[in-house]
Amino acid sequence: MTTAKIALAMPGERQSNLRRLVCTLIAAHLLLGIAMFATAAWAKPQTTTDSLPSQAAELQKARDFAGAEKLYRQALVDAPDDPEILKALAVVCQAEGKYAESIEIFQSILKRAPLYPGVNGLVGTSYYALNDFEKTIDAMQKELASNPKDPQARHLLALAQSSSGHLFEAIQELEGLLADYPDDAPVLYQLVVDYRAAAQKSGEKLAKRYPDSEYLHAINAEVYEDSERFDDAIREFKEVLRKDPKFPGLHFALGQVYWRKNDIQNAQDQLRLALREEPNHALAGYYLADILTNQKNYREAIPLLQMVTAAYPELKEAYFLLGKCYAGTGEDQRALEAFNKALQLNPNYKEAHYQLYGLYAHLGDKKNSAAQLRIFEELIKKGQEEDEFRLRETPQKQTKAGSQDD
Amino acid sequence: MNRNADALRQYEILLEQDPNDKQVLYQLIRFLKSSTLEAIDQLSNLDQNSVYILALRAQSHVEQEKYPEAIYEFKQVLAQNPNFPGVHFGLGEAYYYKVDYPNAEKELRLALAEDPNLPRANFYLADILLKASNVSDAVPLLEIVVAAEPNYMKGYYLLGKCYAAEGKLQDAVKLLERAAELDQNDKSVHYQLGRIYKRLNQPDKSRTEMETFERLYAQERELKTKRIGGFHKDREATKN
Repeated sequence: MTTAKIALAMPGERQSNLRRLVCTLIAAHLLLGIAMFATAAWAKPQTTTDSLPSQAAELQKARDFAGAEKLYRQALVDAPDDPEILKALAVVCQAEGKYAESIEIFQSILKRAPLYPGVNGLVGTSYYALNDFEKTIDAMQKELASNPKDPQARHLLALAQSSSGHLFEAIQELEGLLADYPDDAPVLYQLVVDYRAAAQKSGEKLAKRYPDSEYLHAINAEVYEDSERFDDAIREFKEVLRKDPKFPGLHFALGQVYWRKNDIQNAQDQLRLALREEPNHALAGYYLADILTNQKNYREAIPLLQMVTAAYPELKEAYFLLGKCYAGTGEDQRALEAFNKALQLNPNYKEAHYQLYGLYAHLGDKKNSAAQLRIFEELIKKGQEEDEFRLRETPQKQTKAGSQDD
Repeated sequence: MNRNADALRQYEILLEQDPNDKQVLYQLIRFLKSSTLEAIDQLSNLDQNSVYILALRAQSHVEQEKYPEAIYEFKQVLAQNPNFPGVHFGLGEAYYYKVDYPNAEKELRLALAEDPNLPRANFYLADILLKASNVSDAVPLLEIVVAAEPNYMKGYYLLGKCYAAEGKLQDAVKLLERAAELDQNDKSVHYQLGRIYKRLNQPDKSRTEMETFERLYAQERELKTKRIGGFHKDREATKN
């Protein structure tokens, strides 16, 4: 295997798709006189009170860009160096898609006042629209020098960094932005795209420099496993094993794939090897305990599950298995506690309700047994209704989508 | 600045010290993978039916070569937000890999109407045009590809083939040699070079390229046989 199998988004491609939208958005907000973000100083509408610029601003609001441009140009005859009129004119040009012209006008302002409020951010937007990412980066950095928290400039800086292949810088910028705006979906989306692209790029680097290394085989195996191509994943992990039998975490990784593939014997062998290397490996313990519980080997499973719940106190499945094991060994009180703990973590855990129904019946507690059965049946019914709804909805959606091909 | 940004900075420092540290590269890839999943979870927690999640799901289907599913999801994106960035490119790419060229062409042209410089949209469209032997329309698209994505080997390769078809053999050689520089192990590039050198009456160069082609071809076959052998061996072992 000589290629990294990380099939992820192409960095430049998806970024450049954003360009037009970003520029349109910025222009639209400017034209409506609404700052895209509260702190984006450079996106503030111009507020001159002179009659021609005021009329031009009105036309801008009405999206009559050509009319606005004409009036701004007339206003400049009397005040050729007025930076606010120049700025407004350049913004209109930007909205009209005349990016090169807008850059020329913005630059005429910056020539006299290199940090004129907002102009670096605006010129950066025009550069971005023209795919000139290095100049976008430069402009946005200048904007941020005077207004370091401006989210719009930070976002566009990240997009330009990403488009020009500076993915790590882009990610760092986006992570910083996300720390200030944790619920910003476009930032999160961009972050996903950039992380994936960076993973792809790094994978390609590893493949190019070490085409047959144990590390590349390990990465390939993980990617195959993510795509549920278990046989391919196992083959790659075995290649890692052949090259470096002491590769860290290998037995666990193999055990996990076998477990997911439901190849019980191999899973058990690998997980035991993993636990021999690292006796407190909680996930290896969990998978092995799951196998042992199914084999009714409760006594061996219990200590493993105790170790798992200590490491992952929120893992409801571990309490559920523990409950089954205690019930299997006749430790009913402990089984009750374990199932109830699983239900504390998820009250809709129907399998736990079912187990409790059987356990209460076994203990002669008819009332609680019936109550658990009732909840179980309600949950089953609810699940069936949801499934039916999905089944009804999916063909409709598919038909709708298919008809669009015609 | 959160911990992920700090961690990434640490990896950068380690790779600056030794760019060839394969263990660091391996750990970095794993870090980037897990950070991707973390960000997807966060996005999903905001709204698991958002257009962003639909778009990511569609892209993921493309990556897993599940093209009909990808097309279905991209259409959902389109239905929710017709202006979602990259949706026409995504659809065009999925149709292209699904070998549905008429729909691919339609979507790729829409993508290029939004941004004429999209390298891969130009590449896919050029390839579709070449499949219909439309060399003259493919050339300007491929010229954009090599200008916009100078490290993309396939751009040089296809453009080189186009120039060769138009009889511009010297230009074709330059492009194919650049393609060979970018990926020394692509046998098709050497095959094309071998043929063009022959047309240019340069038998030595032609022979060298053809020998490289044959060597790469043999290596590829050997690797394939090994893989198939390994696969059968694994299956036997599993059976026993």
